[in-house]
Amino acid sequence: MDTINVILNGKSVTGNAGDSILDLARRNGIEIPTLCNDPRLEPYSSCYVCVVEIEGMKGLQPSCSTKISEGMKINTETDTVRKGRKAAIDLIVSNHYADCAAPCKLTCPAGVDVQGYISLIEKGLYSEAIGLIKKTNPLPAICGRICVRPCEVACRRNLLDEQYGVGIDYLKRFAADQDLLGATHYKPEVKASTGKKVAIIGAGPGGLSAAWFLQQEGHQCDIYEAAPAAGGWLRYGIPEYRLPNDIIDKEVATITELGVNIFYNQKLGDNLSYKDLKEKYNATILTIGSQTGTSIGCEGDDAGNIFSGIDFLKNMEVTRQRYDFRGKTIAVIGGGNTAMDCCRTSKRCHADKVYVIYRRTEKEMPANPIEIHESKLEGVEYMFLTAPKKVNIDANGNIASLTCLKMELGEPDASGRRRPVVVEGSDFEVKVDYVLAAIGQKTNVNFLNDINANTGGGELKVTKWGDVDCDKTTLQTGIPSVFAAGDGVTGPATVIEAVAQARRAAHSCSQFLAGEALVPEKTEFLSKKDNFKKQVKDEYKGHFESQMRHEMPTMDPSDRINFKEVELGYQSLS
Amino acid sequence: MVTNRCLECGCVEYFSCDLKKIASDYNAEQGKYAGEYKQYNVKFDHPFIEIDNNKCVLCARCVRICSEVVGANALGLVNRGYDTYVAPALGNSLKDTSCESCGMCISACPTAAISENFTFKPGPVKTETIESVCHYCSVGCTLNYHIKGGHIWQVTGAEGQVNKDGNICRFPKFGYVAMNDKARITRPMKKENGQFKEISFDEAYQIIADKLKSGKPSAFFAGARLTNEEMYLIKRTSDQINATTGSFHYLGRGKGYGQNTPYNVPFEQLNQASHIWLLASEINKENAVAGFMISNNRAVKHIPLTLITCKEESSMERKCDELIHITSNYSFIRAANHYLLSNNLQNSLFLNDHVKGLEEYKSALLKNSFADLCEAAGCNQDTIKVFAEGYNNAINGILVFAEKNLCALAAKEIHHLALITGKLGKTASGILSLKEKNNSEGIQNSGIMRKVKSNSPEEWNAVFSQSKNLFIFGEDPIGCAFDKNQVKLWFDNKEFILVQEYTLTETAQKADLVMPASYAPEIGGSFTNTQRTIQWFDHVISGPMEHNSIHQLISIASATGVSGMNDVADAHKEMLKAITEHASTKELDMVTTNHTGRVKYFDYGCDAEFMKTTLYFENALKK
Repeated sequence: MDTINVILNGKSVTGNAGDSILDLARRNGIEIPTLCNDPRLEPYSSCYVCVVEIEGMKGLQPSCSTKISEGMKINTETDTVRKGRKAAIDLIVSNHYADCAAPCKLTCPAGVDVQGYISLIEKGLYSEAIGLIKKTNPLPAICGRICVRPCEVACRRNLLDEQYGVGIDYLKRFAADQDLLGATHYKPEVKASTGKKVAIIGAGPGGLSAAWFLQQEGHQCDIYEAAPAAGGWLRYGIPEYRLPNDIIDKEVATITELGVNIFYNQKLGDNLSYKDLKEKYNATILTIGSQTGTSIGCEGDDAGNIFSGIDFLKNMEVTRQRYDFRGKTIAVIGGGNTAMDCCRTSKRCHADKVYVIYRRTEKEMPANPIEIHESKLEGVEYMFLTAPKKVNIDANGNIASLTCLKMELGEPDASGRRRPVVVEGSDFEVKVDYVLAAIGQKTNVNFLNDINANTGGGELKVTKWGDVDCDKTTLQTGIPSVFAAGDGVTGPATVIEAVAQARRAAHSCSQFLAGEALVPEKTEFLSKKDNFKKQVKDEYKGHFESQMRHEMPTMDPSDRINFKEVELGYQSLS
Repeated sequence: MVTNRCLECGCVEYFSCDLKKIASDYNAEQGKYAGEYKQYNVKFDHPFIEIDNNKCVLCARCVRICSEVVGANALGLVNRGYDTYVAPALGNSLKDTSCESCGMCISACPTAAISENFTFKPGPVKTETIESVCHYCSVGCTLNYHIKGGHIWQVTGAEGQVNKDGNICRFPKFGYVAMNDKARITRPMKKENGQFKEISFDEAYQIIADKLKSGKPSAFFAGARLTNEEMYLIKRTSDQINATTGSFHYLGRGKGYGQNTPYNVPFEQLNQASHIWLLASEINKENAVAGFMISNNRAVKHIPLTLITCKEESSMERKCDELIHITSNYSFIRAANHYLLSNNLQNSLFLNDHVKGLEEYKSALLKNSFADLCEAAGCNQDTIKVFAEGYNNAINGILVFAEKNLCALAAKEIHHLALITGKLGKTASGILSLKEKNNSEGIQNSGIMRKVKSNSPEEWNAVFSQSKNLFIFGEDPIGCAFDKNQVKLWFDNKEFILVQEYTLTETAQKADLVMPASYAPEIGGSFTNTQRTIQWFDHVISGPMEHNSIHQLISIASATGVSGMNDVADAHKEMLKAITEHASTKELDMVTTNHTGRVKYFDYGCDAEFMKTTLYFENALKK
């Protein structure tokens, strides 16, 4: 066979007569991308992705169909070549009306592969499904109960007008329960020890997740938790009828079994000093949460029997003593999930009457619709378009009644929701015995001085909202060895957002520990139908078999004056 | 099922899409050339292949592989320029075209524009890829099983010794769903009062041991789908109690197939042929990957293909250059031999040096008149002359034929033809005998058929009338019989029948004890392909049974005193020793054949699984 000498990317190589440039490049370990070339078929050169530059020839040549010739000088990686290839690909993807990933996965802050795990659940492969979920979210049994489920909002099943999207969380919960309760549960591989140690402040969803990811990388993680038990707001904020403590305990155990230690009753800036941590650990992750409730902000809001909602919930969990609201009327201020937890818990504390006072309408409530639905079943009453104006006090300094104002909806505000506007002269009085304010939380960074006095380089700062300041991508704080994630960074947000951030912080922290530059995970190209147009019902209805959602079995509403779990979980999936 | 509500909006090729990878590498922007775009409905009407033109990049690999390699021409490009799209030829549904459902288009697609129409939610999930050897036909293709959680999610081709470019056909590509079937037998079942009842493996072994030790005349049958190691263990057990062994697969078909195989033209030499004759073979269905090689050489290298067939309508008609209709394969070849010998066109140099028995053969054959033989062959004399001379004179002439569709005597006459023309065993020249099942060749080498001297129906009738106990592994003679009533009689008045199977086949229903069978990927082992290559493969998945087939066979063998084997690797070693001991170099000889009383009793290689998969394809594709 005739040998042919060519210069390929500046290097002399030999090929055989009849070889294409693509063949030759492949044999020499040079990758040239192509879509239309198939080694089994004759060259076709339609995609123009495999183009290269040949010295002395105008323009770019397709390497799949250009045969090599003596003395040819070929360049496969010049800027011109890359530009040419990119143009070819840009053209192809601009007519590629298709989704690489499903909207559920793309919407999930943690990027949980919903479609993947549903396919595993279909085959009864529950532990495999949990293994897939735990690649990005270590808390499926917990999230399967209390996640705010942006995935279900994004679900295209909604376009079929069957009232609900896919019950993604119900499926996740089913698989997680099967896995947790089974003889063996999913356990990831933990890499050999790197000898590095990480201190994690707070055993809430963020801290637990950070530990889960970092421990798998071979770093020893020790969590320091101010409370006597793990879970953060999962335990102290979310009532047991929604998230039983034993589920938290079991899921936390799947994290500690990897070798993670949790030290309780250890509060940074209080009985724990950063100085000690710095000596013992190579890095620290702050997952401190947002601990302080916001007051209702009206005249007299410092009266007795007015609590912040989260303190109300937390106190009961800490003391294991339920409030006794027998014969009392409770007003819960706010429209989020904490408000729901407060009103439904108040009912379980035997309150006579429970009002939820919310300044917009039900449609604008940020709370999960299912929560609103269940609260109504349990007898909670709603006062929409209502805002507190003034707290009226009794002789003991406790609240006697609440003067409220009627509101109406005006122009949309920055959040896109219509702004509530006071209806002048609409004052009215509601007699209440307790007020639970569920209108927001603030981060409390009480250890700033302690840390900054001991950094040995760098400074930890807080933002103007009082949250921990850090790089939004790498989550590294002003101190190179300190990272942060969760509510403490974002202000009060969701569990799944804390989990997602913790994974990113763990990724950065791991790079830091390895002495590498902090680079976020590479983002892939994802084709999206939504890049072409908004998906509409007309194109979905009639294209898929109709199937209503299997409803979650729940405890009878008349049987709920207790803290037993209301949602009973699917018994089977058939 | 609750999970059914998921619409699977994400792409099935998420982890493997070439376009996504390249677009990521080059930071592609979907909005860069925003403007007009095409929108198509996804087509699900083909039972195995899904077409989503939205994802098509117009590389035409599917169209080209279907024409250049498969030769089916079922796909084409419709319209021109911006309006071009890939569509089934001549109609709206791929199902209504000449599509052979081989799935090669799927293997060629760089995106998911053509993908598998899955029977379950395909995820996609990241799977483990394990290489193995196909367990359907005798070509012996290498393939990859994609496994997660003991479920087979997909099968793709791997570059193997035979299928060097990784091509596979519809059997492995879509037939794997049977292995995921939850309806399989997984525990031994004993018949009591006409009803099957699950029993423990130990109880089953005890029953079998008692029967083996009973001293009653017994016969063992091993299917051509089994691994060499299974065959070996069955043979060892049978020999220990001096029983008869056989395989329904070849039962009553005489002897003569085995002689050709050692001289087969290697598959990779097909591309050096000057002319290929395909006799009695629906190669595109029965041994499709070998068919791809022939079609590819025809399309690209223009190697002419002549089809010789007894079928009124052959699926290869569209894929050949010349078509010869005949009514008897045996007589056709005999007529050609007659023509060559009577006209003194034989390769005397070769015959004199290598072959015994020429004169006797010649004088016996020439007693027939050429005209009578041609008439018996069902074609005119000129056609046979042209064939005989064409094959004889071809520089590299290859006659490819399927054992399945002709009797052992016709195979023997093909052997004679290759001797007369002096082509036997020459490079890229001679014959290529295709076998029906993955291990049809293995059963020939296993010694299982050694005790039946003539392998004639009469000989077998005698075996059946004498045998009290029958042990049948991996065969369904009743279900696969052409004449079920005739075959059923063989199983009457038996004291004990054991059947090892995947499901309760018609034969299994006759059994007193049914043992669950493992699929080959669940046990590992080796098959011998039609080129006599022993291809080892590791076990891929554990399967649903407490004791797999190898475990069972070792337990059964040990009841007859066989010891020293603990796993499939041990059985493999012993098997290799045994076949080497018995291997003998035979002289090339010619013998007079007489075409009487040779019957083919069974279709589908006498394998219920092969039948089920074949019918699964046929029914799914019914128009």
